[in-house]
Amino acid sequence: MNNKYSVIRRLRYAFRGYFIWKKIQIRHKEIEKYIIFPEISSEYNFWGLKFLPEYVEKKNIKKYVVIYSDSEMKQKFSNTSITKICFPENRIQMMLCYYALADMSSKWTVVSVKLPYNTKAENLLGRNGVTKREIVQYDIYQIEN
Amino acid sequence: MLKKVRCVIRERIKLIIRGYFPIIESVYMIILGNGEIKKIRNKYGSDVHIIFMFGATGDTYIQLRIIHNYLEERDIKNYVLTGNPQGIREIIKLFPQYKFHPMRDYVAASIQKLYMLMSDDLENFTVMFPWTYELYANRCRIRMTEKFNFMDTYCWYVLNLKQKYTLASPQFLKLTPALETKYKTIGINKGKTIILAPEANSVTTLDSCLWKEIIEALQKCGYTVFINAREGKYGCKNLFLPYFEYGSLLEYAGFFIGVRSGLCDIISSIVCKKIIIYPQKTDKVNYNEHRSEIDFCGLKVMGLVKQTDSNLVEIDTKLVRNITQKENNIKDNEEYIQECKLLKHNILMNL
Repeated sequence: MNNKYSVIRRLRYAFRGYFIWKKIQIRHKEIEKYIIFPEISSEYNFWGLKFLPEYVEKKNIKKYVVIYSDSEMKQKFSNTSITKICFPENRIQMMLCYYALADMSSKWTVVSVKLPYNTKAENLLGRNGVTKREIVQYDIYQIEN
Repeated sequence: MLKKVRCVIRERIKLIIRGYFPIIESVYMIILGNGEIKKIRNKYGSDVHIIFMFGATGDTYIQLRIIHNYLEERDIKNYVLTGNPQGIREIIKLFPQYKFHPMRDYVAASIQKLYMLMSDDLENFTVMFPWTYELYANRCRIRMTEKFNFMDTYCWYVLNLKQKYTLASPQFLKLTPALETKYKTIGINKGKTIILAPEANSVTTLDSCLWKEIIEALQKCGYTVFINAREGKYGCKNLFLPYFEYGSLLEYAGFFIGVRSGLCDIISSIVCKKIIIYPQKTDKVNYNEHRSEIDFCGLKVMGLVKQTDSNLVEIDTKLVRNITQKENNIKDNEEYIQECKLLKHNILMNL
């Protein structure tokens, strides 16, 4: 609902998101990219993880951190050497509220087309055979070629 | 004087804040945008559906031709169109059936910022240009792949239309004896005049020398040429008319030649001979930015002109590039000369 209180609440979230982000930055210095998986039990997480090695290779990203809250992902990460941070869902939401205020796209990659806002890419799902896999490849990671 | 000083100081403060404290500006914009939304709802009713447009004129024109499908499909009765004035103010005159709420550019940008924070929680609100640069998170690129044409961007990607769409007819000014006299006075030769649109935002233009050559060749063939351009560097008269007058103008003049721009969308439904010049498709397509090739942006491909319409000729050439394409398609001088000859030939042959 678009009322004053929800706008204020989100602005408050955004400021908290800023401090969360600053804390992460202090702990993980020299990180080139922060890859955020904000969704829970989502197909985007599956494809996001699947294409992650290809993404970091193609974009020549040496140091990166994965931020997630999905418990299913925790298991998948257990045997990997990837630097990762598991956050409660609302903390990631706060970071994404901050993302809505400040363009962090050079530092952050958000594996979602619904957060921080609806990019409407999902309207194309199923049209001429478009899948979530392609949305991850084309819109999120931009590694189609 | 005092007003001017105040204005300068305000702009300076804005620049400093934008440079050093962008978050503060974002917060200000969100508050401003929220206030504007409230104002609109107070004016048009709390249940009013806001159709928010923040894009170029050509895009706005197409959206206005199809928006009725969206309103019908979702049974939206109370709605208002709003957005950046540059894009809409002139175009809306072609669609007088729609209510338009004007606002300043900055306020429109503020509403866009509010959308970024609130997203789908903004009830009764449709954002018509979700692909603008200001909406920086994961901008949609898949819509520009070979699977789609530019019309799919509007119908499927933006409006998510489920049924077959129809196009609303723009209300151009009809040709009257008074207008005929006006055009005659300007020097437009009935049925023998070409309105040339050499410039576009999304594609590069041809060299002005080549345009001059083409204009000379057209004049030799007996045509009067008018240019729709900002500067008079092409050696013939400029002609700037409001969009709603293009219907009568082109009907009277008879011909339109231009590089692919938003104006081509606007004049697509007008009965006259049209030659549109497109960039040639390159081996590696860039999905990051806009594409203007025939197979994506062609007026026939988009369904704005019937496939069988012989009045429209679409030509692609290496001489024109998508504005975002840095590298030149032409290898050497020899190829350039050949391409120039070919384009000139194609234009003259198709008139």
